[in-house]
Amino acid sequence: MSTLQNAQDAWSQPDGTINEKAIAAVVAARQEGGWGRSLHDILTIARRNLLIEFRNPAEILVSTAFPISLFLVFTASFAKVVAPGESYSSYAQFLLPFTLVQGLIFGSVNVGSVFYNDLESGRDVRLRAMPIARLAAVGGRLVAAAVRILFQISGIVLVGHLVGFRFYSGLLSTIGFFLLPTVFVLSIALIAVYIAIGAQSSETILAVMNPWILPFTFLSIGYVPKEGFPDWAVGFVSHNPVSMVTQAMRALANGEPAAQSVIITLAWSLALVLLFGPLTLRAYKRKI
Amino acid sequence: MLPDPHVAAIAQQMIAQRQETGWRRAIDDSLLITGRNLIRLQRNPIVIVAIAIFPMVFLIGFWVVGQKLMAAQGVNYIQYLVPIINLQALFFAGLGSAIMLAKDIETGMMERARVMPISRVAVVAGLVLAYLIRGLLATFILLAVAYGLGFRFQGGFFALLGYFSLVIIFTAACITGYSILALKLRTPTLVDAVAIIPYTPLLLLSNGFSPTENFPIWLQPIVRYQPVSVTCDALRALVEGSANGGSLYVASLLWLVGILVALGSWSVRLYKSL
Repeated sequence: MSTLQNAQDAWSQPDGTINEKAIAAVVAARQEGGWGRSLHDILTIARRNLLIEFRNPAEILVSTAFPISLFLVFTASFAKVVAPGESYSSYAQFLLPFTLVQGLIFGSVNVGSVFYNDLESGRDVRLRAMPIARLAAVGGRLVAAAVRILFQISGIVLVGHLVGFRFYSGLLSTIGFFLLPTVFVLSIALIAVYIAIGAQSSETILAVMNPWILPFTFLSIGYVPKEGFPDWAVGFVSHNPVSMVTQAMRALANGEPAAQSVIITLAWSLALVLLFGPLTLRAYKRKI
Repeated sequence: MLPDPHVAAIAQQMIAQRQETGWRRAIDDSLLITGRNLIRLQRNPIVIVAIAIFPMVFLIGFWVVGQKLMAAQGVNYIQYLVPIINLQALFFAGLGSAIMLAKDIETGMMERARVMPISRVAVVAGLVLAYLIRGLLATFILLAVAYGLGFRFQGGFFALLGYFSLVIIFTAACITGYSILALKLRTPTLVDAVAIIPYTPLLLLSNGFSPTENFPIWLQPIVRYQPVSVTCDALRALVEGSANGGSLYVASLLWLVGILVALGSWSVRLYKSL
């Protein structure tokens, strides 16, 4: 009782408000700010999101299995159409980077709907009231989404290996092959998150995202090289960001020069972040 | 204790007077539930996307990607592609019906319908009817878009009739098959997640997008004779008005009716034990 009384005496000022220096001292003692604490909080939130994923594995398994089955089926049915006289495995080498990106882009809808469920259940309001780093709510989700994406990439690459997909490049390029789509898809997931904030139901996210994701994936150099397209489509096909990331990943896997397409892909991601980052932040602040 | 025979007689008379059983009542109730389901479909934005935009995007997408390469193989791709895109739209109608059924089970609508003085078949028939309408609507929109891209129906009146009868039976088979998932799993999100699993082997591993000869030799028998391929062959023959349309139609009908009977009896058993 007496210690509490002392503490109150130390805090309160003659005009009845609380001494701000004292608050700062408390915050400092509990280490609520600072890099170490922020990192710790980010990892805690990331762990929580990943636990949700892995305790309900149906969703992540299906969203990994779907691109895998698309990859296998398209290899079986289109190899002879796209490259008559060549082997199935050479088309697999051509197709895998694209199916990977395509599957991940469709998966970005999931990032949005997880976020939507969090907003619905009031989780973000709760996080606000807790003594954690402000960055953690966003950072934790990003880390969790990245881990999820890397898990999916690994699964798809493993199956691709069975059909004949190989890395013909060095370690650095291989790492780039894993990281580039992660960055690209996270920047697209930002759009899904932005939609999620304003959405009336989690189905809205799917309904808004899919109609434009599909044309971008179809009209890309993914299934067919750009020579296979009618002339009026070639311009769009060759500048489509999905084509860019596909081209970059093919180059990274085959050990060809990849710098230009990698840089263009990263520029697209940066542009998306610069556009949707502030929009999302503003909408989020309004919502909470 | 046995009910008083007099009371039982009065109850029978009341039921007769209110016409709770009988064909007329069953049809009325089914139409009522169909109306309810259609209102739910209208109010869901994703349904409009699924009916109008999805098939269109898939048709145009595959057409743009494949027409040049398929032409090199001597295939007029727009004529070749429309049947499988149509079947895909019907497949998605079946998927949607399963999600709605799971929602009805989860929210207790099913139990509510049980205690109401309506025909027992009404809930099922209402679901099937609503999604048949959705499937037909998607088909009309798709054919209109395809017409704009150069698709032409070359068969006569009976071929057109055959085409639409296959569309209806295929939708019924999809709804029946998917209803098993809904009755077993009972949670909409789970149904949604798992529902994509029959899609890949049946629709994509068919000769719908690419002729059978392009598949690896060991896969060709499966690709050629599985139900979606056979139905696709029949639809294409009807579109082109080819002479073998009749025999392919019968083959497809045999597959679809067989599936309907087999999965239908399973589904009815699950529904009764609900």
